[in-house]
Amino acid sequence: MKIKLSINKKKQELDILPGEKLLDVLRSRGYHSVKEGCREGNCGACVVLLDGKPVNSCLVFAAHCQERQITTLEGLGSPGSLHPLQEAFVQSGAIQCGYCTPGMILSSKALLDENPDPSDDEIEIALDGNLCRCTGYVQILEAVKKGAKLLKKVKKTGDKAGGK
Amino acid sequence: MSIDDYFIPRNVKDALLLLEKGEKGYYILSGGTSLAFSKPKGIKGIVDLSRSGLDYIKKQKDGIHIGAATPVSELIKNPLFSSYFGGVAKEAALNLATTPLRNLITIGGNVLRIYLWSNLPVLFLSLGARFKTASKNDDAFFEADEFFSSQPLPRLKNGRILKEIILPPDDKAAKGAFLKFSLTKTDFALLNVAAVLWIRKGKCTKARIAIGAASPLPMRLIKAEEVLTNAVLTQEVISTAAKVGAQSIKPLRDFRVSDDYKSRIAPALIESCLISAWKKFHKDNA
Repeated sequence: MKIKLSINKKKQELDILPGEKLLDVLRSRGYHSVKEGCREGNCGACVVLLDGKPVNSCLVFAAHCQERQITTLEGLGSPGSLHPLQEAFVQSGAIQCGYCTPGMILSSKALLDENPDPSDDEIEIALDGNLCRCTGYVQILEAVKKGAKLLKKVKKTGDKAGGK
Repeated sequence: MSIDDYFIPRNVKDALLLLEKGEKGYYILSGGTSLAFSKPKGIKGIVDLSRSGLDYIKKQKDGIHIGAATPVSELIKNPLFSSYFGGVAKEAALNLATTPLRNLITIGGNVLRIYLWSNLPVLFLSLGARFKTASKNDDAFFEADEFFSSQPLPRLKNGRILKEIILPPDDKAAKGAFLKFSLTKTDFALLNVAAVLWIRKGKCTKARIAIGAASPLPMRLIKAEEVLTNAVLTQEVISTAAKVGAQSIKPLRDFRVSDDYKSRIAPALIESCLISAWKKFHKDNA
Protein backbone atom coordinates (compact mmCIF):
# COMPACT_ATOMS: atom_id res chain seq x y z
CA MET A 1 0.00 0.00 0.00
CA LYS A 2 1.07 3.61 -0.54
CA ILE A 3 1.02 6.27 2.16
CA LYS A 4 1.68 9.99 2.02
CA LEU A 5 3.37 11.57 4.98
CA SER A 6 5.94 14.16 5.91
CA ILE A 7 9.34 13.11 7.25
CA ASN A 8 11.49 15.93 8.59
CA LYS A 9 9.26 18.45 6.80
CA LYS A 10 9.68 16.72 3.42
CA LYS A 11 6.53 15.32 1.84
CA GLN A 12 6.97 11.72 0.78
CA GLU A 13 5.00 8.87 -0.70
CA LEU A 14 6.11 5.49 0.58
CA ASP A 15 5.27 2.00 -0.55
CA ILE A 16 4.81 -0.09 2.59
CA LEU A 17 3.25 -3.31 3.80
CA PRO A 18 0.10 -2.81 5.90
CA GLY A 19 1.67 -4.60 8.89
CA GLU A 20 5.06 -2.85 8.78
CA LYS A 21 6.22 -0.89 11.79
CA LEU A 22 7.33 2.71 11.50
CA LEU A 23 10.75 1.83 12.97
CA ASP A 24 11.50 -0.60 10.15
CA VAL A 25 10.16 1.69 7.43
CA LEU A 26 12.29 4.60 8.63
CA ARG A 27 15.48 2.59 9.04
CA SER A 28 15.08 0.95 5.63
CA ARG A 29 14.81 4.44 4.12
CA GLY A 30 18.09 5.56 5.68
CA TYR A 31 16.90 7.26 8.87
CA HIS A 32 19.47 5.45 10.95
CA SER A 33 19.21 7.75 13.97
CA VAL A 34 16.07 5.74 14.79
CA LYS A 35 17.50 2.85 16.79
CA GLU A 36 16.11 -0.59 17.34
CA GLY A 37 16.28 -1.52 21.01
CA CYS A 38 13.77 -3.65 22.87
CA ARG A 39 11.01 -3.61 20.22
CA GLU A 40 8.53 -3.60 23.10
CA GLY A 41 8.11 0.09 23.80
CA ASN A 42 10.25 -0.03 26.91
CA CYS A 43 13.64 1.47 26.04
CA GLY A 44 12.89 4.58 23.96
CA ALA A 45 15.77 4.05 21.52
CA CYS A 46 13.29 4.16 18.63
CA VAL A 47 11.48 7.33 19.74
CA VAL A 48 10.46 9.70 16.94
CA LEU A 49 8.07 12.63 16.99
CA LEU A 50 4.64 11.97 15.51
CA ASP A 51 2.94 15.32 14.96
CA GLY A 52 5.39 16.74 17.48
CA LYS A 53 4.80 14.14 20.19
CA PRO A 54 7.30 11.43 21.15
CA VAL A 55 6.17 7.88 20.37
CA ASN A 56 7.83 4.47 20.28
CA SER A 57 8.16 3.82 16.54
CA CYS A 58 8.53 0.08 17.20
CA LEU A 59 4.87 -0.02 18.25
CA VAL A 60 3.47 2.25 15.53
CA PHE A 61 2.19 0.80 12.29
CA ALA A 62 3.65 2.82 9.43
CA ALA A 63 0.19 2.93 7.84
CA HIS A 64 -1.04 4.81 10.93
CA CYS A 65 1.21 7.72 9.88
CA GLN A 66 -0.74 8.45 6.70
CA GLU A 67 -0.96 12.26 6.30
CA ARG A 68 1.01 12.87 9.49
CA GLN A 69 4.35 14.46 10.29
CA ILE A 70 7.33 12.48 11.49
CA THR A 71 10.47 14.03 12.94
CA THR A 72 13.67 12.06 13.39
CA LEU A 73 17.00 13.34 14.66
CA GLU A 74 18.10 13.83 11.04
CA GLY A 75 15.51 16.61 10.90
CA LEU A 76 17.02 18.61 13.75
CA GLY A 77 20.60 19.46 12.96
CA SER A 78 23.58 18.42 10.87
CA PRO A 79 27.24 17.81 11.80
CA GLY A 80 28.15 21.33 10.75
CA SER A 81 25.17 23.01 12.33
CA LEU A 82 23.95 21.30 15.47
CA HIS A 83 20.54 21.97 16.96
CA PRO A 84 20.87 23.73 20.36
CA LEU A 85 19.77 20.55 22.13
CA GLN A 86 22.42 18.52 20.32
CA GLU A 87 24.97 21.18 21.25
CA ALA A 88 23.82 21.02 24.88
CA PHE A 89 24.16 17.22 24.98
CA VAL A 90 27.72 17.49 23.64
CA GLN A 91 28.70 20.31 26.01
CA SER A 92 27.21 18.48 29.03
CA GLY A 93 28.89 15.16 28.35
CA ALA A 94 25.47 13.58 28.15
CA ILE A 95 26.51 11.08 25.51
CA GLN A 96 28.55 7.95 26.03
CA CYS A 97 27.70 5.12 23.65
CA GLY A 98 25.12 7.34 21.97
CA TYR A 99 22.49 4.69 21.35
CA CYS A 100 19.84 6.39 23.48
CA THR A 101 20.78 9.92 22.40
CA PRO A 102 18.44 10.38 19.40
CA GLY A 103 15.43 9.36 21.49
CA MET A 104 16.60 11.47 24.43
CA ILE A 105 16.99 14.55 22.27
CA LEU A 106 13.64 14.11 20.53
CA SER A 107 11.81 13.60 23.83
CA SER A 108 13.58 16.71 25.16
CA LYS A 109 12.62 18.68 22.06
CA ALA A 110 8.95 17.75 22.45
CA LEU A 111 9.09 18.89 26.08
CA LEU A 112 10.80 22.22 25.35
CA ASP A 113 8.48 22.96 22.41
CA GLU A 114 5.55 22.82 24.84
CA ASN A 115 7.28 24.03 27.97
CA PRO A 116 10.42 26.16 27.44
CA ASP A 117 11.17 26.39 31.16
CA PRO A 118 10.55 22.94 32.67
CA SER A 119 11.15 21.97 36.29
CA ASP A 120 13.38 19.00 37.19
CA ASP A 121 10.26 16.88 37.77
CA GLU A 122 8.85 17.82 34.37
CA ILE A 123 12.12 16.87 32.67
CA GLU A 124 12.18 13.53 34.46
CA ILE A 125 8.59 12.78 33.39
CA ALA A 126 9.33 13.78 29.79
CA LEU A 127 12.32 11.41 29.70
CA ASP A 128 10.72 8.56 31.63
CA GLY A 129 10.45 6.50 28.45
CA ASN A 130 14.10 6.81 27.44
CA LEU A 131 16.57 4.46 29.07
CA CYS A 132 20.30 5.17 29.20
CA ARG A 133 22.61 2.36 30.36
CA CYS A 134 25.80 4.48 30.34
CA THR A 135 25.57 7.95 31.78
CA GLY A 136 23.36 7.64 34.84
CA TYR A 137 21.04 10.45 33.70
CA VAL A 138 22.63 13.31 35.67
CA GLN A 139 24.36 14.82 32.63
CA ILE A 140 21.29 14.21 30.50
CA LEU A 141 19.11 16.23 32.86
CA GLU A 142 21.79 18.94 32.86
CA ALA A 143 21.82 18.85 29.06
CA VAL A 144 18.07 19.45 28.84
CA LYS A 145 18.36 22.45 31.16
CA LYS A 146 21.29 23.77 29.15
CA GLY A 147 19.36 23.11 25.94
CA ALA A 148 16.44 25.13 27.29
CA LYS A 149 18.79 28.06 27.92
CA LEU A 150 20.42 27.77 24.49
CA LEU A 151 17.03 27.62 22.78
CA LYS A 152 15.95 30.80 24.56
CA LYS A 153 19.16 32.46 23.42
CA VAL A 154 18.55 31.31 19.86
CA LYS A 155 15.08 32.79 19.92
CA LYS A 156 16.53 36.10 21.08
CA THR A 157 19.51 36.25 18.75
CA GLY A 158 18.43 34.07 15.85
CA ASP A 159 21.76 32.24 16.18
CA LYS A 160 21.00 28.63 15.22
CA ALA A 161 23.84 27.09 17.22
CA GLY A 162 22.79 28.84 20.37
CA GLY A 163 25.58 31.39 20.48
CA LYS A 164 28.37 28.84 20.26
CA MET B 1 2.43 -10.02 11.03
CA SER B 2 0.63 -10.69 7.77
CA ILE B 3 -2.03 -8.07 7.26
CA ASP B 4 -3.68 -7.43 3.93
CA ASP B 5 -5.66 -4.27 4.61
CA TYR B 6 -5.29 -1.14 6.71
CA PHE B 7 -8.20 1.29 6.95
CA ILE B 8 -8.43 4.71 8.56
CA PRO B 9 -12.16 5.49 8.65
CA ARG B 10 -13.12 9.13 9.12
CA ASN B 11 -16.18 8.48 11.27
CA VAL B 12 -17.67 5.84 13.56
CA LYS B 13 -20.32 4.82 11.02
CA ASP B 14 -17.67 3.90 8.44
CA ALA B 15 -15.64 2.09 11.10
CA LEU B 16 -18.65 -0.04 12.03
CA LEU B 17 -19.34 -0.83 8.38
CA LEU B 18 -15.74 -1.93 7.88
CA LEU B 19 -15.85 -4.15 10.94
CA GLU B 20 -19.03 -5.74 9.65
CA LYS B 21 -17.48 -6.27 6.22
CA GLY B 22 -14.31 -7.80 7.65
CA GLU B 23 -16.23 -10.07 10.01
CA LYS B 24 -13.77 -11.59 12.46
CA GLY B 25 -10.67 -10.88 10.35
CA TYR B 26 -10.62 -7.11 10.93
CA TYR B 27 -9.18 -5.86 14.21
CA ILE B 28 -9.68 -2.45 15.74
CA LEU B 29 -6.58 -0.33 16.34
CA SER B 30 -7.05 2.42 18.88
CA GLY B 31 -3.57 3.25 20.18
CA GLY B 32 -2.13 0.10 18.67
CA THR B 33 0.33 -0.82 21.42
CA SER B 34 -1.46 -4.09 22.24
CA LEU B 35 -2.04 -4.99 18.61
CA ALA B 36 1.61 -4.30 17.73
CA PHE B 37 2.64 -6.85 20.34
CA SER B 38 0.05 -9.51 19.79
CA LYS B 39 -0.22 -11.45 16.60
CA PRO B 40 -3.88 -12.36 16.46
CA LYS B 41 -4.58 -15.54 14.51
CA GLY B 42 -6.53 -14.96 11.35
CA ILE B 43 -6.03 -11.19 11.28
CA LYS B 44 -6.68 -9.86 7.79
CA GLY B 45 -7.04 -6.17 8.29
CA ILE B 46 -6.81 -3.29 10.74
CA VAL B 47 -9.47 -0.64 11.28
CA ASP B 48 -7.57 2.33 12.73
CA LEU B 49 -9.88 4.50 14.85
CA SER B 50 -7.38 7.34 15.33
CA ARG B 51 -9.20 9.65 12.92
CA SER B 52 -12.78 8.51 13.35
CA GLY B 53 -13.76 11.47 15.52
CA LEU B 54 -13.24 9.71 18.85
CA ASP B 55 -10.35 11.86 20.07
CA TYR B 56 -11.93 14.53 22.29
CA ILE B 57 -12.57 15.69 25.83
CA LYS B 58 -15.74 17.72 26.36
CA LYS B 59 -17.13 19.18 29.54
CA GLN B 60 -20.92 18.85 29.56
CA LYS B 61 -23.66 19.19 32.15
CA ASP B 62 -23.68 15.50 32.96
CA GLY B 63 -19.91 15.24 33.25
CA ILE B 64 -16.76 14.99 31.19
CA HIS B 65 -17.11 13.07 27.93
CA ILE B 66 -13.91 11.44 26.71
CA GLY B 67 -13.70 9.94 23.23
CA ALA B 68 -12.45 6.36 23.36
CA ALA B 69 -9.51 7.08 21.04
CA THR B 70 -8.18 9.94 23.19
CA PRO B 71 -4.55 9.34 24.23
CA VAL B 72 -3.84 8.82 27.93
CA SER B 73 -1.47 11.81 27.84
CA GLU B 74 -4.52 14.08 27.59
CA LEU B 75 -5.48 13.19 31.17
CA ILE B 76 -2.21 14.88 32.16
CA LYS B 77 -2.21 17.80 29.74
CA ASN B 78 -5.87 18.80 29.66
CA PRO B 79 -6.48 21.49 32.33
CA LEU B 80 -9.91 19.97 33.09
CA PHE B 81 -8.16 17.21 35.03
CA SER B 82 -5.66 19.26 37.02
CA SER B 83 -8.02 19.62 39.98
CA TYR B 84 -10.77 17.18 38.96
CA PHE B 85 -11.64 15.16 42.10
CA GLY B 86 -8.37 16.33 43.64
CA GLY B 87 -6.35 15.46 40.55
CA VAL B 88 -6.99 11.71 40.78
CA ALA B 89 -7.22 11.15 37.00
CA LYS B 90 -3.93 12.95 36.42
CA GLU B 91 -2.25 10.86 39.13
CA ALA B 92 -3.47 7.62 37.53
CA ALA B 93 -2.30 8.70 34.09
CA LEU B 94 1.13 9.80 35.34
CA ASN B 95 1.57 6.33 36.80
CA LEU B 96 0.70 4.63 33.54
CA ALA B 97 3.66 3.55 31.40
CA THR B 98 5.93 6.26 29.97
CA THR B 99 5.57 9.53 28.07
CA PRO B 100 6.00 8.04 24.55
CA LEU B 101 3.60 5.23 25.38
CA ARG B 102 1.04 7.58 26.92
CA ASN B 103 1.01 9.44 23.60
CA LEU B 104 0.00 6.17 21.90
CA ILE B 105 -2.13 4.28 24.41
CA THR B 106 -5.73 5.43 24.26
CA ILE B 107 -8.09 5.70 27.18
CA GLY B 108 -10.60 3.41 25.47
CA GLY B 109 -7.97 0.85 24.61
CA ASN B 110 -6.68 0.76 28.17
CA VAL B 111 -10.11 -0.05 29.61
CA LEU B 112 -11.21 -2.54 26.96
CA ARG B 113 -8.30 -4.93 27.25
CA ILE B 114 -7.67 -5.19 30.97
CA TYR B 115 -4.27 -6.42 32.01
CA LEU B 116 -3.56 -7.37 35.61
CA TRP B 117 -1.71 -4.08 36.15
CA SER B 118 -4.03 -1.70 34.24
CA ASN B 119 -4.48 1.69 35.92
CA LEU B 120 -7.46 3.30 34.24
CA PRO B 121 -10.05 0.61 35.03
CA VAL B 122 -9.20 1.10 38.72
CA LEU B 123 -9.53 4.88 38.33
CA PHE B 124 -12.86 4.69 36.49
CA LEU B 125 -14.26 2.20 38.97
CA SER B 126 -13.46 4.60 41.82
CA LEU B 127 -15.04 7.53 39.98
CA GLY B 128 -18.16 5.63 38.93
CA ALA B 129 -17.65 6.30 35.22
CA ARG B 130 -20.14 5.31 32.52
CA PHE B 131 -19.26 3.76 29.19
CA LYS B 132 -21.09 4.48 25.95
CA THR B 133 -20.86 1.83 23.25
CA ALA B 134 -22.18 2.03 19.71
CA SER B 135 -23.33 -0.44 17.13
CA LYS B 136 -24.82 0.14 13.68
CA ASN B 137 -28.27 0.17 15.26
CA ASP B 138 -28.04 1.72 18.69
CA ASP B 139 -25.98 3.10 21.58
CA ALA B 140 -25.74 1.22 24.87
CA PHE B 141 -24.50 2.45 28.23
CA PHE B 142 -22.75 0.52 30.96
CA GLU B 143 -22.03 1.58 34.54
CA ALA B 144 -18.42 1.01 35.67
CA ASP B 145 -19.33 -1.82 38.07
CA GLU B 146 -21.03 -3.73 35.26
CA PHE B 147 -18.45 -2.81 32.61
CA PHE B 148 -15.58 -4.21 34.67
CA SER B 149 -17.45 -7.30 35.93
CA SER B 150 -15.78 -9.28 33.13
CA GLN B 151 -13.25 -8.52 30.38
CA PRO B 152 -15.04 -5.80 28.38
CA LEU B 153 -13.54 -6.55 24.95
CA PRO B 154 -15.21 -9.92 24.22
CA ARG B 155 -18.61 -8.40 25.02
CA LEU B 156 -18.08 -5.70 22.41
CA LYS B 157 -17.04 -7.88 19.52
CA ASN B 158 -20.35 -8.25 17.72
CA GLY B 159 -20.20 -5.06 15.70
CA ARG B 160 -20.12 -2.84 18.76
CA ILE B 161 -17.34 -0.44 19.71
CA LEU B 162 -16.60 1.68 22.75
CA LYS B 163 -17.38 5.24 21.83
CA GLU B 164 -17.06 7.32 24.96
CA ILE B 165 -16.20 7.28 28.64
CA ILE B 166 -18.36 9.63 30.70
CA LEU B 167 -16.92 10.81 33.99
CA PRO B 168 -19.15 12.39 36.64
CA PRO B 169 -19.10 16.19 36.98
CA ASP B 170 -16.46 17.45 39.38
CA ASP B 171 -17.68 17.68 42.95
CA LYS B 172 -15.82 20.09 45.19
CA ALA B 173 -16.93 18.05 48.21
CA ALA B 174 -14.95 15.10 46.90
CA LYS B 175 -11.25 14.37 46.57
CA GLY B 176 -9.51 11.34 45.20
CA ALA B 177 -6.06 9.82 45.05
CA PHE B 178 -4.34 7.11 43.05
CA LEU B 179 -1.35 5.10 44.19
CA LYS B 180 0.63 2.44 42.40
CA PHE B 181 3.06 0.06 44.03
CA SER B 182 5.70 -1.10 41.56
CA LEU B 183 9.38 -1.90 41.42
CA THR B 184 10.16 1.30 39.50
CA LYS B 185 8.05 4.34 38.72
CA THR B 186 7.31 3.25 35.17
CA ASP B 187 6.98 -0.47 35.87
CA PHE B 188 3.70 -2.34 35.85
CA ALA B 189 1.74 -2.18 39.09
CA LEU B 190 2.14 -4.93 41.63
CA LEU B 191 -0.94 -3.38 43.22
CA ASN B 192 -2.75 -0.13 42.50
CA VAL B 193 -5.47 1.67 44.40
CA ALA B 194 -7.81 4.56 43.65
CA ALA B 195 -9.98 6.14 46.31
CA VAL B 196 -12.52 8.94 46.19
CA LEU B 197 -13.90 10.42 49.41
CA TRP B 198 -16.87 12.76 49.76
CA ILE B 199 -16.71 14.86 52.93
CA ARG B 200 -19.54 17.17 53.95
CA LYS B 201 -19.70 19.03 57.27
CA GLY B 202 -16.76 17.06 58.61
CA LYS B 203 -18.28 13.67 57.86
CA CYS B 204 -17.44 11.24 55.10
CA THR B 205 -20.75 10.87 53.29
CA LYS B 206 -19.56 8.52 50.58
CA ALA B 207 -16.44 6.62 49.56
CA ARG B 208 -15.50 4.63 46.49
CA ILE B 209 -12.32 2.57 46.61
CA ALA B 210 -11.01 0.28 43.90
CA ILE B 211 -7.97 -1.98 43.77
CA GLY B 212 -6.17 -3.43 40.78
CA ALA B 213 -3.57 -6.17 40.19
CA ALA B 214 -5.01 -8.11 43.11
CA SER B 215 -7.38 -10.16 40.99
CA PRO B 216 -7.76 -10.57 37.21
CA LEU B 217 -10.23 -7.69 37.15
CA PRO B 218 -10.24 -4.49 39.21
CA MET B 219 -12.58 -4.63 42.18
CA ARG B 220 -14.39 -2.29 44.56
CA LEU B 221 -13.55 -2.53 48.26
CA ILE B 222 -17.15 -2.27 49.39
CA LYS B 223 -16.53 -3.26 53.01
CA ALA B 224 -13.85 -0.60 53.38
CA GLU B 225 -16.21 1.95 51.84
CA GLU B 226 -18.82 0.97 54.46
CA VAL B 227 -16.36 1.61 57.29
CA LEU B 228 -15.76 5.15 56.01
CA THR B 229 -19.32 6.10 55.09
CA ASN B 230 -20.96 8.33 57.73
CA ALA B 231 -17.77 8.33 59.81
CA VAL B 232 -15.78 11.33 60.98
CA LEU B 233 -12.43 10.48 59.43
CA THR B 234 -9.47 9.95 61.72
CA GLN B 235 -6.21 8.10 61.23
CA GLU B 236 -7.71 5.21 63.19
CA VAL B 237 -10.87 5.00 61.05
CA ILE B 238 -8.79 5.07 57.89
CA SER B 239 -6.45 2.33 59.17
CA THR B 240 -9.43 0.16 60.04
CA ALA B 241 -10.97 0.70 56.60
CA ALA B 242 -7.67 -0.21 54.94
CA LYS B 243 -7.36 -3.43 56.95
CA VAL B 244 -10.98 -4.38 56.22
CA GLY B 245 -10.44 -3.62 52.54
CA ALA B 246 -7.26 -5.70 52.38
CA GLN B 247 -9.02 -8.64 54.06
CA SER B 248 -11.59 -8.71 51.28
CA ILE B 249 -9.05 -9.45 48.56
CA LYS B 250 -7.29 -12.69 47.72
CA PRO B 251 -4.32 -11.49 45.69
CA LEU B 252 -3.08 -13.52 42.77
CA ARG B 253 0.60 -14.25 42.62
CA ASP B 254 2.34 -13.15 39.49
CA PHE B 255 5.82 -13.87 38.23
CA ARG B 256 7.29 -10.95 40.16
CA VAL B 257 5.86 -11.33 43.66
CA SER B 258 4.00 -13.87 45.76
CA ASP B 259 0.37 -13.62 46.77
CA ASP B 260 1.56 -13.37 50.39
CA TYR B 261 3.70 -10.33 49.57
CA LYS B 262 0.75 -8.63 47.89
CA SER B 263 -1.45 -9.42 50.90
CA ARG B 264 1.05 -7.75 53.20
CA ILE B 265 1.45 -4.56 51.20
CA ALA B 266 -2.27 -4.19 50.40
CA PRO B 267 -3.35 -2.62 53.74
CA ALA B 268 -0.43 -0.17 53.66
CA LEU B 269 -1.15 0.86 50.08
CA ILE B 270 -4.89 1.28 50.67
CA GLU B 271 -4.20 3.30 53.83
CA SER B 272 -1.67 5.53 52.06
CA CYS B 273 -4.11 6.16 49.24
CA LEU B 274 -6.94 7.06 51.62
CA ILE B 275 -4.67 9.38 53.58
CA SER B 276 -3.50 11.02 50.37
CA ALA B 277 -7.13 11.73 49.38
CA TRP B 278 -8.03 12.87 52.91
CA LYS B 279 -5.06 15.26 53.11
CA LYS B 280 -6.29 17.05 50.01
CA PHE B 281 -9.27 18.36 52.02
CA HIS B 282 -6.84 19.80 54.58
CA LYS B 283 -4.89 21.53 51.82
CA ASP B 284 -8.06 23.23 50.63
CA ASN B 285 -8.81 24.48 54.15
CA ALA B 286 -5.24 25.59 54.87
